[in-house]
Amino acid sequence: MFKNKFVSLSELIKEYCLNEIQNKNTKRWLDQKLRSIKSAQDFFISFALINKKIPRDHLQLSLAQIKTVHLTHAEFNIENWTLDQLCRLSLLMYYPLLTVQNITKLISVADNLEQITIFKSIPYLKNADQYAHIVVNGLRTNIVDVFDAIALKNSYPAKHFSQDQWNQMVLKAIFMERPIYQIKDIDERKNEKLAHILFNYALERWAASRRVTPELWRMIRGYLTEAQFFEMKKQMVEPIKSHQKAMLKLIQESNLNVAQQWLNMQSIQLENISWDQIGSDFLNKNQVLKNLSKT
Amino acid sequence: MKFIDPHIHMTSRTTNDYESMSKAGIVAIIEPAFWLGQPRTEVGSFKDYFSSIVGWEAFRASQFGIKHYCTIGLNSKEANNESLAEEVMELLPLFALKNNVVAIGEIGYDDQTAAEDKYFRAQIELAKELDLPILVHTPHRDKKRGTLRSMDVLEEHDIDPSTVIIDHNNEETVESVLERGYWTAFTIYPNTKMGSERMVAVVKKYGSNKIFINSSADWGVSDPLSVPKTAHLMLDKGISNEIVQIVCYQNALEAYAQSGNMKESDWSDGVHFDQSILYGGNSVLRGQPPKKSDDSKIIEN
Repeated sequence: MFKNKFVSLSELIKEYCLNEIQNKNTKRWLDQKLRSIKSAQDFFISFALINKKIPRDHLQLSLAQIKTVHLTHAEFNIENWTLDQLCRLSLLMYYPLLTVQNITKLISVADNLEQITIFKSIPYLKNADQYAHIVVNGLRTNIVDVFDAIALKNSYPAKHFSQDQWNQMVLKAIFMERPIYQIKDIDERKNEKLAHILFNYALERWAASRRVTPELWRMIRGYLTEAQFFEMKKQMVEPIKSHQKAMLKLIQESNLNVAQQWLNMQSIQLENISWDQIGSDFLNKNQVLKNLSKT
Repeated sequence: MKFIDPHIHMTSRTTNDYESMSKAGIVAIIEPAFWLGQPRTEVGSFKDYFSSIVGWEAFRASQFGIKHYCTIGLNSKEANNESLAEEVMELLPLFALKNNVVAIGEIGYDDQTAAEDKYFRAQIELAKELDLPILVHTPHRDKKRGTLRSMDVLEEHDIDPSTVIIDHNNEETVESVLERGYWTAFTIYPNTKMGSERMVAVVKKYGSNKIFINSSADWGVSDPLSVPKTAHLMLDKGISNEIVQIVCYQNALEAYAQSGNMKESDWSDGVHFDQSILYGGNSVLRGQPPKKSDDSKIIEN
């Protein structure tokens, strides 16, 4: 399939969708809708009908097929998409009348699964740069899965958000204890303003005897001030517990003399642990707690 | 024992209700689209309401381990505002196809006016087109005639009674509704509609075939624990476990599973959106630790 010629992402996805649909009538229906959607109402109904017509299964892809997609379209992780999501992405890609207004309406009548799919899809649409304020509005949701669809594993925010929009997203992600190591370009878009906001957030949480996610310290890296170091030091009580590993890492990686001197005086074994590892450890620990609370 | 409350308006209820419902064994609920206690004047109000029952409310319920479904429809009271009704009719197909929608409803008659009749029929046709079950609200006033008329109209439109739930039945309507093959639902209300004691008598007389109960709890005086409370009363009065399970769980599941959007596996392994449980900051839980459910008995009747 697709040897020796460049295939656009939309063609590729269409091909994969049609190949995966077992039911002949459904296949014909989707093929026809991708060729000619007659009106906005037709588009909205077709988009909604995916729920009835297409199973929510992962695609049956061979490793070779996944590699083919990665080779030609490195930015698209097809293994993260279910068949219904891919079919909806296809509809969005092939709908000739797609406008800011239409997407806004589509979102306003969407259920949670549809919203998740729309926000996952937006980075791959034509004129994606026009949709920034729609995506920023999407982040105002209280529904965790919709928030995740925008913030995590999605290239859109890093590419299209202003600094303030970016900072609001990361702050909210930290507030909701979402795994920020899954935010694309999380280190590349670090900034002093964000570091300052997050440090104040940590102070506020400490004042209320609440914890902060250890991933927060990743965002302070490169911006830690002496005054902030002294605040952190107050929280470091021996024996150093696992949630303080991230704070130690930040102190260790700072170039503050006072911080280095303090470290030298401690009898702490410094571990070589990556920020991504800190994030995924914390996520797994939360997952275990969640399962415990269920039983 | 597990329960389904197949008719409850959660947008009007608090998280305390969700907590006690979950504790009482309610695992799944259906929120029929209805009016808000006062008539809406703009189509946008309908849109945002439908949007909340296909989205936000499902998420809110999931935080308490309860699977939430809804029905979509233009209720009979508001069908009387014809210009608004036309606009709402255009919205309905967009929402009726969503993943947690299990019927077109609640539709039917209130004052039994011509406008109500017109939109009842139009929505019956919509249900046919979308292959969805129908939830029929029977009127508070002139109930018996309204109920019979609803069934006549459904049959005029060639609807299979086994895909229709006739709701808010009482001793006066139950026989003809059962006879004609419809799902026969009863609302247990503290003051109006059915009381728990009367419901026990109905089940003793008619058995469990096609019968199920709900709370219809909303913004008025009503009880979100009606279903589990009535179930316990049935057990106390000697009705078998099996029958209680059919009337308070199984029949509702069978009736609405015909939509293709409701199945036991949706809740048997936990409710999907519950990953949010620990993320207290921005959730409904607002920093509260998730409550562990225990098996202690619910509040008495």
